[in-house]
Amino acid sequence: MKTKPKKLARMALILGVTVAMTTACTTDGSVDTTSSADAEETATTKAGSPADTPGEGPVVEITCQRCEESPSDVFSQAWYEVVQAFNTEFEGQFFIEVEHFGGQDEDDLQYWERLALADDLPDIFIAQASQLQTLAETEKLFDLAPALTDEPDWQESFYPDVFDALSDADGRIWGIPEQRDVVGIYWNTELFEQAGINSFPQTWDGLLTAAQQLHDAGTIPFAMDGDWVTQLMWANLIGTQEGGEEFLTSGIREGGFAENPAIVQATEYLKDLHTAGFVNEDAFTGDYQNAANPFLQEQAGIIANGPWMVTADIQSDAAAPDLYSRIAYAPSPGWVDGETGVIVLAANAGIASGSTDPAAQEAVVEFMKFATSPAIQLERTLKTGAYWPIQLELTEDQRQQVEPVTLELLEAADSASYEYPHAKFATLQPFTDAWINQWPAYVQDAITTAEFLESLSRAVTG
Amino acid sequence: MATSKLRPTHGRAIHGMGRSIALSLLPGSLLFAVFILIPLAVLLVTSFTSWDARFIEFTRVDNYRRLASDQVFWNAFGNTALYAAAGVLIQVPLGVAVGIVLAEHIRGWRVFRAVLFTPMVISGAAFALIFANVYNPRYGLLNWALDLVGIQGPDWLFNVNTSLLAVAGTFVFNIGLFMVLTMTEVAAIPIEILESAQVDGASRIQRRIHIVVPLLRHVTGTCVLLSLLATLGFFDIVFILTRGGPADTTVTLAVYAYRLYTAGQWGYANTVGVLIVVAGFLLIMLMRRLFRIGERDL
Repeated sequence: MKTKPKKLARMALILGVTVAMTTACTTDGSVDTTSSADAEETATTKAGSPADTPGEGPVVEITCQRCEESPSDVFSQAWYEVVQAFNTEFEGQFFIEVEHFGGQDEDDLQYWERLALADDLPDIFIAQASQLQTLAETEKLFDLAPALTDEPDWQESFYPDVFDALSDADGRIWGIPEQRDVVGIYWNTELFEQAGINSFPQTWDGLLTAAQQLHDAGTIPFAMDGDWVTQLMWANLIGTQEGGEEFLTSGIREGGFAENPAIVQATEYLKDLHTAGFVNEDAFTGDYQNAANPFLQEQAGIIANGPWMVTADIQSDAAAPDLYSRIAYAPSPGWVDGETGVIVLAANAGIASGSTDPAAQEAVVEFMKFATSPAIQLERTLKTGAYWPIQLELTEDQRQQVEPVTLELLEAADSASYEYPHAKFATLQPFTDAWINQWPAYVQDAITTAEFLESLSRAVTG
Repeated sequence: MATSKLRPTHGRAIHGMGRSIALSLLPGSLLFAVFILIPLAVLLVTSFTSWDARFIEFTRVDNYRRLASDQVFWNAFGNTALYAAAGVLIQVPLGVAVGIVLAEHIRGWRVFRAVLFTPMVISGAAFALIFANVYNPRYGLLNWALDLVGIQGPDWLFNVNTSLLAVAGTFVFNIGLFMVLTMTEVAAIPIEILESAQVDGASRIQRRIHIVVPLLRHVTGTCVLLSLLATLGFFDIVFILTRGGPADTTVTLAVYAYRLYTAGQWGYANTVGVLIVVAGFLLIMLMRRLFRIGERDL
């Protein structure tokens, strides 16, 4: 016969197991591993936390995602340091709590959309301009246009083109530009010299000739990856034609690629580089490292990439010793002699906000002004190699600090005949998926140029 | 007598313990309902909608009609079936065969068992990354080995003619689980049966084929079922290696569903998900009937 204590013990065990199993799950995307006592103790080590300012007015606390401390991601680490500097500067007034970013690169738009639907967007986050345009439809983004209008000096400090991708037809602005870069083409001067080439070609025909010479000298002419780097070359081939900029800016979202002769010409040229054996063998993986490694190890002579590559890769331990002394940075060749081009990544990403509280919005605007101030932007450039979205007049001392190779291209960009954006940032993930999926088959002649371009068109039009 | 009431008969619960059993099952049942049943219900309902992060609209059977003419879906379906066939026709027989041999404790059987089981403890993502490097046409191990004998290997993962085989090759030789399950089942076969056969003059091979293999019906059926269910949800290796390319030659149903999700077509993605679930149920029922799993042999 069962005794009452045994029954009670059994019930307690069942109840305990139920409670333990259900409370083991977290309730939101961020994992709070600290108890309230630990959190308070941790808060006292951060500048400007409420625990440090007894007796003063309430500190406005806001959240930030995509600005986590990171030993491997220089951009995230740079933003983390900007946040910490802001917390120090505005101690007692504002405080930014860094939240863990719970998404992944492939589905970060869906991640932001889920947060938007749950009214849980962070006060500050960083997202691609094309994603912000989509997120704006949720009507959960903070329109920054009034804040910029109220601060004309701040608004005018930016390059004129940096808000194009971040604003809509009604003049609302969904993000403050994160950076503005001029993207050129790196080339290894020593490998070129060994192949008997003294300068970087100015035309696409000249580049083909140079590629043959490099190939004959035993060098892989082009380093590509089937995604980022390959699409940079594609953008260069399109952008240096009449109408190319317009296509890359807005036409790309309307499809009809196969009917555009400029796109067909560019695509077939890019394919021919592969079929001629001028590209690394593993150029289809979609992994940037498969392009970076041959260039960094001086097996390949040319790679298209942004100015941050100097800091992140060329001057890193992954590169051949003293590679930096043997590289140069050039604008893209053109189809006509003398008509070169550059990709301008004008605010491909923006600092956005989901704040709805006026006090939090004030804090957000203050952070954005702080983050885009000349001193902070210069410091960020020195750490990441990515350039500033504001029009910065450098002193001679400051000029000495900035990496000269990429700075030279930035300052010479105005003399390029063509300026155009990167195809990748005017489109969303389906375009990238379609490119990675179909590009290898196209190069292998499993599908035609028209079929390849049609697949890309379908990806952008849905 | 009090003790007779405590002895269960024909599997029926002991009288008076029904409430306790129900309460004991409550936590697991609740979790099952919350994390399995409710999501399944949401999956089914939303498969009849056009749904992205912002809008949801009931579209009746439009998604299912769309599947009928969706070439990528049929590519994915065909590839998934091929992977399943590779699992059933290569992975399972190989695992069972090796399990039978190792169960006889041949020399070095512990080493073989450890080596063959090691891939099971590596995560699918890490496994895929290892093979991504093995298959790399520029510096990968496979092409390097082929180069030693004068063969120039292709870009295994991104050549439309070799990609499917290359992806299948990453898992068909991963036999550790089936091997261990088989070894366990072989160890449970009464030794008297095998000795009796040996006395009757049956050779080792004959004993394996005519006695051991038939008695492994349950575990073989279980292995086939596990293999089929694993390939039905095959995602991580394909996504990391090829993302379903080139030109959808390696895409699976799960990868396609994920692709639809990142494209903002959540309703349609869930339609594919429903088909995966339904296929899983059908496979379970079919394999149970085919292998008579659960029926007694002796």
